[in-house]
Amino acid sequence: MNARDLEALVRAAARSEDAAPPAEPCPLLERLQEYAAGPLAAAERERVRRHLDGCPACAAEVALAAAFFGPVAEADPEVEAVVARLRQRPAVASDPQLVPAPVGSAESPLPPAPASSGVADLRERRPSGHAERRAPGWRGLALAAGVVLAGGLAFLVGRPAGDPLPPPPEESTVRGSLVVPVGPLGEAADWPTAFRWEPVREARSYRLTVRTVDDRTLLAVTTEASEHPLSPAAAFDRAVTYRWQVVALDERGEVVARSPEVSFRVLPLAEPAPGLPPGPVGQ
Amino acid sequence: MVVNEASDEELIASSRAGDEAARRAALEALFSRHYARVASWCLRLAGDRDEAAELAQEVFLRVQTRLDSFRGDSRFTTWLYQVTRSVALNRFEQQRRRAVGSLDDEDVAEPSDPAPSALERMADGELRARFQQALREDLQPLEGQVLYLHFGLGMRLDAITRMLGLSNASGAKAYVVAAKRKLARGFGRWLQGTDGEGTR
Repeated sequence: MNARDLEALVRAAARSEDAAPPAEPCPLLERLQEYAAGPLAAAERERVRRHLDGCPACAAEVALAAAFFGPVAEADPEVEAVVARLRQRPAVASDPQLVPAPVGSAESPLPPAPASSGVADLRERRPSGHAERRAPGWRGLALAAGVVLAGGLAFLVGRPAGDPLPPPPEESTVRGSLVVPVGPLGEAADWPTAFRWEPVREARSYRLTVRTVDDRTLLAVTTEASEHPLSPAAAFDRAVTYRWQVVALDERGEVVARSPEVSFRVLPLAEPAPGLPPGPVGQ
Repeated sequence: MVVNEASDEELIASSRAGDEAARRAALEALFSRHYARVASWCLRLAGDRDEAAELAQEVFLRVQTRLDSFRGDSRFTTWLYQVTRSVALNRFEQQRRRAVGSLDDEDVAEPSDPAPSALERMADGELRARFQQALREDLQPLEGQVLYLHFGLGMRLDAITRMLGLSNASGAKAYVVAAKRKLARGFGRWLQGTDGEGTR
């Protein structure tokens, strides 16, 4: 069993629509953030509090927000140092297009950012805008745990019982991914009819990209449906692995979620038995 | 209007209605009053003042370019947090992409076992339900939170340790290890036990 295929299977299972739902739908992210900030009405506050008791994903979002809305140690030298940097290069400019370059970018007189900073890259990209509007909740957590479990299942399949669990492979982590690919995943005997993924509540459209393993883009389309026809005659061959990914976009065309990159391959046709005519080709 | 006494929302209104000088003054006042809050959160996330400064600056760049989309449906600080969180999630994604890199030949190696029967049955609805049940019932709340932040949002373990104020020796890592063990022991063994027979 290919570990990547296994991950994809577990991931899809973890977020399936018919799996046991949590006791109640997760609150909107904004509601969790308001809960952390404090302005919720008493009844709503109590409803959120009850939900948090059984939903670690939402509880984690509240913990993140609480760290933002809680008391700020303005006298902390580390905080002061960061604030000083912000004052040194304020974001306010007469034209938003002329806002100062981020610290470390090519235009900045300050020392260049380390290679891992990514600020320059972020400026080149279309801003992603708002965070997703509903907490991923258990479904998001199930997605995350599914990835963890993939390592555990690989262990169960491939290692004798009693060995310590290996760490999950780094490439197995699906970070921040909230679009779940349904298929094609792994290997298939025949051509699937379409690329399919689970719809995202906040999405108005999806951008599907299909690439070869050497990173050549074969298909890049935007669709409002949660599927796109797979036309093998167009660009795909049997026995070749392809990678695909879906990005969910909101009404402004901004990214609200993205899928992990998954792969699939259609198995080669079986060799015809001696004496029989050859099978169909060119699918 | 005295900018130092104005509410956030009044400053935003002023930045939209006034002349250029008033707009700048309003925005500078608005941003300055939130610098420490954003800086503090970014520090907890990054653990390093250089990285925190980059992140915080990206936040305020984003706030300025997107302030027109703030409709006042929520408090400005809530919206500011949403922008901050979004910038941080983008940063996590970028770090993940750097760590993973593009798929190489090893990533798409041919499967050694094309049809293990138990794992094929992941498409089974009962199996999916059992898996979600294991997530809800087998993990401690804090283990679930750490899993979500690390694998769901992509936060580094050291950042989770700081954000959740974990004081144990190995921080968030210990919670991930414990969660993996529990999931493998519960659901994983149940799955193994159903392998090959086609019965549940």
